[in-house]
Amino acid sequence: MRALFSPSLLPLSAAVIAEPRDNFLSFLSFLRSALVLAWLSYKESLRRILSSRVLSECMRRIPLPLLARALRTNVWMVWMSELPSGQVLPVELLPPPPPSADNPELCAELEDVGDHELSYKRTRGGEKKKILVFLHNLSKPGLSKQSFLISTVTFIAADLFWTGDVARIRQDKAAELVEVLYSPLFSLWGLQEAKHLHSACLSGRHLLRSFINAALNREEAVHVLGFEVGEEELKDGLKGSPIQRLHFHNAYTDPLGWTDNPTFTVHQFCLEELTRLVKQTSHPKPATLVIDSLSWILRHHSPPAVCKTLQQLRKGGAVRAIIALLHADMHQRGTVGSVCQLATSVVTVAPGMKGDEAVAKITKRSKSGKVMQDEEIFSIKEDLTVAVQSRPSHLGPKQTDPEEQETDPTANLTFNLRLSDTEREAKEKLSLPFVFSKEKKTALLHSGPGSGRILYEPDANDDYDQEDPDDDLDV
Amino acid sequence: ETMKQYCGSVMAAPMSSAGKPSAERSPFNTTSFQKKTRSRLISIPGTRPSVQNGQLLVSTGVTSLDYLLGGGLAVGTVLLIEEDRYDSYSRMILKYFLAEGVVCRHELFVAAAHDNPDDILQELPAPILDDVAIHKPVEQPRLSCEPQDSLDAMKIAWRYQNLPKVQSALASSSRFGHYYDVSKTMEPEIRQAAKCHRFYLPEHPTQSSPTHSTMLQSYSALLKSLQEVIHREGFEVAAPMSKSRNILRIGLHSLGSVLWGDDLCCHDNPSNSHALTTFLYGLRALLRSSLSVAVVTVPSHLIQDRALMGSITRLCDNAIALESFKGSERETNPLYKDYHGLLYVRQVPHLNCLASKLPDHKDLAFKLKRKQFTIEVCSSISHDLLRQRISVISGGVFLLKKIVGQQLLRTKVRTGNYIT
Repeated sequence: MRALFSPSLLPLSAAVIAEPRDNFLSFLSFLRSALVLAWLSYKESLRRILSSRVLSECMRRIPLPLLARALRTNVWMVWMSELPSGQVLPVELLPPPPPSADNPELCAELEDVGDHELSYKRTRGGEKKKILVFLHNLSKPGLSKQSFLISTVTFIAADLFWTGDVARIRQDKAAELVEVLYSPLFSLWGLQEAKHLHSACLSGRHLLRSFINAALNREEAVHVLGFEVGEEELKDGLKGSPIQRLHFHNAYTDPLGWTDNPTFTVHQFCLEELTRLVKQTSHPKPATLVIDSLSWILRHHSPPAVCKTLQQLRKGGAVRAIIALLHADMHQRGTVGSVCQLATSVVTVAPGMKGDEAVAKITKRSKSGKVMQDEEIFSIKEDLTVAVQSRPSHLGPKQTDPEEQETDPTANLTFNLRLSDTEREAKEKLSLPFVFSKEKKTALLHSGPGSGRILYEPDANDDYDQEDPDDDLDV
Repeated sequence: ETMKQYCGSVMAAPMSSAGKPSAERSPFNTTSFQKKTRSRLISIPGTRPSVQNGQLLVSTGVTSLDYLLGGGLAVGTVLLIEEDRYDSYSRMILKYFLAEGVVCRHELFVAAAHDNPDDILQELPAPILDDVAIHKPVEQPRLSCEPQDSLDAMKIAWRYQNLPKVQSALASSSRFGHYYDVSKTMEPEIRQAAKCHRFYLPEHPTQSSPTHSTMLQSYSALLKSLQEVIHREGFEVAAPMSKSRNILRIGLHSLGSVLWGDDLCCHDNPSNSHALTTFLYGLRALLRSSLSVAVVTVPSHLIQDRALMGSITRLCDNAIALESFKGSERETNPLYKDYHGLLYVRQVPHLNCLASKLPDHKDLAFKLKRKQFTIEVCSSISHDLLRQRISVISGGVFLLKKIVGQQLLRTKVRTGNYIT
């Protein structure tokens, strides 16, 4: 099975496919690969299915970033509009298809039964199972055996979750089948784990929401580029705040501009468009721009382009502040670092110990280049105000090592190093040999004319230690 | 072969006769051996020949860094600074470098993509030009803390009493580099006196011409602009000696960062992985044939490909890396409590020689005092050692005392026995 999902085929999920039920994450990556493949082969069918029921269902149940993270790449290109029934879209393989057709390992697993028919054998629990994949009408021009295999792999992948004996499908039934296949997957979403895993992400969005709320209460115009949360959901969360100054640019329903009149697409993320957008509404004060989320944009634009736009916005003066949500675990470390380097403040949210608490690590840099860091536990109250509970105990006051506490090395000596007053007096009285009188000293130090003197001009190259070499001693 | 050429031109820089062929002097020089005379060195303000190899040096502005790099930066070389995580200290060194240029009346070339070069120039630290007067209260040695009037202040070492204070030496004419007060910014009058060329990437629209080179548009624009300045202002070594020569100080901020359009920092396998190295080759060739010196900062902590970072380092003559304690667990480590970060010397230049002297100390740390940025040998280890040694000594004294006491007792007993 592993060979099927060789790295060349599925770069990210090669290892986890074998035991998909082991943990939640591998489940997610399984889902991703399965859906990506399904989409590759059954783009049009899937569109129909995902748009109608399954996807909307799963959108309702699954926190969106989590799903996006699970799917990571292409599935979000599946557009959720209803297609007129009977319309056949040209089948094209949008992303470059994985080079699997010539992969002997892959073919070894599959048995070519006949024309457009493949049989797939697999063992689970000592018992052999066989799936027959029956695909009709796939021999259209433009559809290679490659994509044929991919579609097969999809069903094999789906089979790992589907315990049915034989899946025998035809293309016109494919939509049905996919739905059937995937519905048990989606029913799993009620999982406790999902909630737990996602709490940090949620508090990130809550924090974003409370930032919006605070800006609105300051009587500032707020522009939201919403890719991940719909308008209603956002406004529901902002009940009780003056939302007439909130401008929602809907990139949630049609992020890629597949319909005729998209409100905002990801391709519009550039300086000119955003300035135009912000300037449309006349407010005396510069607006606050909220990006929910930057992860979405970073997947469709190159990081240098995104960073350039952000920097231009910052310098441009059209917006007062930019607040962006970034799912840091979805990107490479360098990308996150580069984006964070542009920001004046970075709040990193991690799940806290208790249910609604979260830990925020705040890094602020001032204009002078000074960096301040802080770590706080916070929770967000009903009215979207942030309640800072306490500092985490492990960061609290500096732990003072008992050993470090100013040990006086002269304390426990077996002999006396100190002088009492009488002893000192006695010491002063003692006249040492070769000690000259004051007069003689003065005469020696201020030598008159004719006597020898050392003339030394100190030089910068002199090896002279400017600091007291002994100032680090405790004695 | 190219390397040899480079070296030749670096060496040629300090010689005033760069433009004149040696034939002019030939009536007097019948042998090829010539006495090296100091008069042939160009006297450019703010430069001095190296004590070790006669290379023309300029100061980085940080005296301790100069010392670390063998006296200063050789003209015609590049210093690479690997930025600390928040770019606070690397930026500071860059500003020191530029400020030193302003004070020495050198010309500046500042390039940046993140901030406007003018912003960087506005933040230059204020020079302490009359540093003797200002430094006195701070840097007085212990000597002066003691009462001067009474001759009895020194009882045993009294002969040292009238020796001049060595501190004043730093104000002597042979001093190299200036001191700066980072808490203040340089007065605009001083700053504007220096001629400065700026390169702010957003102001240079990069035309998307289909080029076959591996270099990015931004880098080639920068290199072109640099080349133009060097040519126009006569910084080439081969330029006619019509007027007095000057040094061009080049500060390139955060090269390789995303804002230069480079995805070097973003991906494990960057698509234009050779862009920066190609640029550095060009820069190096440009510098070798001109009276200029460059400081380049690179956000190396974001670059995942260590091999690539290695080749970037190799392309620069000097390379240092800064590691700030900010946000790392070392911040609370008592070992480093006196410092703000560690400094690593990644590379020292090999100029006209096979091997170069590495700094004596491996563990270097920097700290930002109230006004000054300094690099020091991290003394915490010796600190602990000293403490250990003290306890050993006291233990030894205890033993000695015990032995002597026993010996005394023994003699007493023995003499007692004798008497009885």
